[in-house]
Amino acid sequence: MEAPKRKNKAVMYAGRAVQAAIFVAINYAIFFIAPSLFYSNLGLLTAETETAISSYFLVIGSLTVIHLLLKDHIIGFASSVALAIVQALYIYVITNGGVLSITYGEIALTLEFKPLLYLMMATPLVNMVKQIFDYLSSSAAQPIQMLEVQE
Amino acid sequence: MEQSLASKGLRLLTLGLSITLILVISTVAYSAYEDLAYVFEGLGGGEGMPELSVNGTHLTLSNLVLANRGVYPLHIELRSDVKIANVSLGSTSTGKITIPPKTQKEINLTMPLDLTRVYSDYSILKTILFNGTMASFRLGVDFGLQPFVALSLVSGFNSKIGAALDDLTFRLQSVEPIDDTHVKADVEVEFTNRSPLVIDGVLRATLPSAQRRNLQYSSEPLEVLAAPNQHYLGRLTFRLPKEELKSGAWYILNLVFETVGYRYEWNAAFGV
Repeated sequence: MEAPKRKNKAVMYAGRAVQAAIFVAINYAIFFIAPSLFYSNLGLLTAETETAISSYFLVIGSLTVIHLLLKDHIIGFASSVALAIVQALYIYVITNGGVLSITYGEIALTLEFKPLLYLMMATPLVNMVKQIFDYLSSSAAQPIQMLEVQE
Repeated sequence: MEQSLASKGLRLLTLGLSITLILVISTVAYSAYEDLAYVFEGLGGGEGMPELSVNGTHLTLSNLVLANRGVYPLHIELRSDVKIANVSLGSTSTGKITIPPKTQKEINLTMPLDLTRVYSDYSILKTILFNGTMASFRLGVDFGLQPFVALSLVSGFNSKIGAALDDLTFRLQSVEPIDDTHVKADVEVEFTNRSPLVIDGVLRATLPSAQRRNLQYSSEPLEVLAAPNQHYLGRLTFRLPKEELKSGAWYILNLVFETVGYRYEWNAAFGV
């Protein structure tokens, strides 16, 4: 009876690991490669920016793995909420609040895209609200065990 | 477990936001590409190529035709300021111009040059008249695809401007007798206006007598009007006693140049 249960668990976690690997790869493309390419093409890739991109990606990657592996646990839920906050914060920090300034010799260029930034930040934040809502709904729907007290 | 309606709504909202974001990014990228491609094609092919001209009283940027080939309204604002020898001659702006999608507009920028600021400073006036200086132009462009992206570009360049009275020389052109005691001496004035400013003023010249102290001979005031890059030739005419001019001698001219209420004084020499 124990062995098939353990096997089922192993299969479940293997499936989640594959799912986590896919999501980490997607996050790698979105949160690491895309900003690195963008900044290096503009000639704005400094050591600080590189460190920020790497650090945030490490946090995002770790939270994605924890969230997907432990999705039915409170830690998984907490990491999904943290992931949404970190993603939104990362988008804000890496785009310098939606204002990028570049100087090429005598030419000073300022690009402002705050409405787009808020739209980008809204997606993970709405997702976070949904996660919280789902978690609260599922907690409320848990059956309560009423133990009969025998005197 | 069945999802609640609110959860489904939030999922739909996330999906909608993601789709909107993708659509907005792709349409903004398309519009920016189309508009920038138009600007670069225009600059390469000469179409829409702006002309910058300075006519002495105004700086004009004309023939700038911009077409909005994107899907969002394009707004543009041009700003400019000019300095000569670090003195501001003025600044101007076109104000915010909105070009709806699939239309084009011609943009002109005219800036009045306030030269009184330059003329009222004696050392700058001297520099402009005789030495040439640097003029610095700054041009700012605010460009945006409403309401998502705004781009601000500020650029400047320095341009050397030549002296207004470049190669100013005085040459005795002719001496003709008027009567038994006096002669008419014509002194030729020559220079090239190498500045972008129109030189408009009056030149007054006096010639101190070589024979008697405190005696000066005045010429008729000479109206000087020289457009940028114009070679100017004028004549100062003196009525002098015959004995004043001696062959081989050099004479000093006291000169006063008056322009827009300001005057600059200096000396120049000519030989006989």
